[in-house]
Amino acid sequence: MTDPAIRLEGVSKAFKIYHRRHSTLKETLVRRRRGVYDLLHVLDDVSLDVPHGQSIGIVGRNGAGKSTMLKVMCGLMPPDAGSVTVWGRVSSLLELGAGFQGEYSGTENVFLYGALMGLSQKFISERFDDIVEFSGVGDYLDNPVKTYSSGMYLRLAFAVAVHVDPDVLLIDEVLAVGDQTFRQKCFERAQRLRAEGKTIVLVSHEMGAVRRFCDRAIWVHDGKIRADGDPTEITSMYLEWAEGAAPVTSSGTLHVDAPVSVGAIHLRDRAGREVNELATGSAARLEFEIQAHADHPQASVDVRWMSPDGTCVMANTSRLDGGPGLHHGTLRASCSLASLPFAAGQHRVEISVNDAATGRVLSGAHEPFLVQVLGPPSEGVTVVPVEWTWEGSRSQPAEAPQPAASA
Amino acid sequence: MAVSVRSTARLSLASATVLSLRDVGMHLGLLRLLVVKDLKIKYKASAIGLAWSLLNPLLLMLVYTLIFGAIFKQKQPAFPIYILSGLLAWNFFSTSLNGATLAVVANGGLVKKVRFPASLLPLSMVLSGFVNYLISLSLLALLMLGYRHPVGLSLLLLPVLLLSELAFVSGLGLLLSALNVFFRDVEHFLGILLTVWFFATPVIYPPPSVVGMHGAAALLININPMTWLIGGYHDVFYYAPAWPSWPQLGAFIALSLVLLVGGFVVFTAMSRRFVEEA
Repeated sequence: MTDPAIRLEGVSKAFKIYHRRHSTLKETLVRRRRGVYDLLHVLDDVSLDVPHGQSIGIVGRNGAGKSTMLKVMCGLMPPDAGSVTVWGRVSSLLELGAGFQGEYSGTENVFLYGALMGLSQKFISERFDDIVEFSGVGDYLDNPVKTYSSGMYLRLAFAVAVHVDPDVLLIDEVLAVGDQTFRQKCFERAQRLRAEGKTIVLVSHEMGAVRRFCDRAIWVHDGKIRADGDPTEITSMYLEWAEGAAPVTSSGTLHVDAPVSVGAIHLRDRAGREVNELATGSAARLEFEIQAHADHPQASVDVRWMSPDGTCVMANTSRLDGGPGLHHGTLRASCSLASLPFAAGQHRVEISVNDAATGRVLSGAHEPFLVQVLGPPSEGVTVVPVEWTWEGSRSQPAEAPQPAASA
Repeated sequence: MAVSVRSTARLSLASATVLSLRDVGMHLGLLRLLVVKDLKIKYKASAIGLAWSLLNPLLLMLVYTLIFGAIFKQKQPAFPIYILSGLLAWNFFSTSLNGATLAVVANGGLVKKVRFPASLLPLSMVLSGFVNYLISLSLLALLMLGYRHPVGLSLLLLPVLLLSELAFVSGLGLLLSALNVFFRDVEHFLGILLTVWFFATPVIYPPPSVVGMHGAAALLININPMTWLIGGYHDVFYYAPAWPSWPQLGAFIALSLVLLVGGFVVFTAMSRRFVEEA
């Protein structure tokens, strides 16, 4: 029997959600006295044992309690009830570059991160070259990280987190950003840690990643573990539920209290007609409405296109803070795509609104929005126009080039 | 394998404090890094970095000496030594306390996303202020050399004064930085408090006993712990070879230790809610 690396026993966590900000001091005082707030039960009596060397994936919709579970695991938040125990050194990537200080240079941040984890300067010095090499930010090491692109930021953060020789690695969604080469590198590195017997907890919306990478998956729903088992099985269950889930309106669910809601999603073709199926390569426009119950000056909107197997094939982020930000009220958004680069199959669109400053997800789950992409079958997930040329001897005279290939 | 995280809903204050102390012990490297970083910012930000931090008290000393010498006809010999010895100690107190109070809120991003002993944030501000203070004491030494001012055996007490002030500022800094997370009014209130406190402490004027001051004002000055501390500095630097008043010094040391322990315990208890509030 393997010893547990992480043990949660009857863990509960609730947040106080205050109703709408009060504008006057008097109101504030009145509110303080009466304590007008709702308790949001984010984790509800959760017990979980993760054995040493296991890599476990946590899936569930936004607001289900996944990220809170990670924060509780790394000791950042004490539970309201129950207890959390973790054995071994914990390294966490809760958000893109969490723990990095914008004013500090890349080098200083590497040492700061190590020091935050309680590691000596010598320990980091010995691994410094590896970290730099892995991150590939070499030339920019002496620049403040606030000048880094988000890709560089992520690369450095990931490089540090995996090189500090953790026993337990907690990763929240961060692998969804970054270019393909780097993601591949991260994936290989994580696989190596896995082979070395490290315990890994991965929170992800990418079912593909959970299937490829994890030995076990749990589905967290409304603060409870709804299912626990084989990653392929659990992710299929979750996807089935996510696609079939009726628009949730019952008062007991979390997203009703979400500060922002997303709805009225429509897809239009080149001619502006509303459609729910489109051919690969055709132009498309996605329209939706964002309803905010308060001002969020630093909001950003994420649109994710999920392939039939749950892999995020494309993610677009738009920050709203260039202009007036997100005001209390309704905002109509439209996102035009020059061409749909997806292989045939039913795709799911996930739209979320986040606070760019804190990384917090503001929006609740929206109704599942499915788009049927039509086209020749392909083994890959994306399709772009391809042109073939041939030189040298061929057995048959060349026919018209096939305008399809997979990536 | 060693337990690295143990967090439970109900944790007695005593065991929470012990855990938190252990945590601080494991992160001394972080403390050093934060202190060095803060000092670097202070000294590298401008062309003559270090000079600025010495110039400021020097200028203030001149101004106060002029005011009290020329306007109030203050006839104390070598009065600049009196002013500077008190002023440097006061500056360490007020600058560090201000910095410490803001420390947790200013690093909210870090506190919310990474688990580490947050008490190191205010403590590092106090320690970098302390290093700064030690450097600025060279200014006082130069001034005393210039005046050929006598020193006595009581100068041996200087480390005691320095360390008790360090404990006093640390304790108060921990307390206020934690409170400031929940009540942002603390940082605004502190500015006013420090101004009033400064004038209630004999830094730029002689102690009440020397000028024969009586009544409520004298009482307020005399029950002010900073008066006890600054009085100690005056005794070892200015009134040498006089010895500090033992009851006052003893009371200050006791108060400092109580504040340090109390501040740390309160900080530990409140820090459990930082993630949600900072």
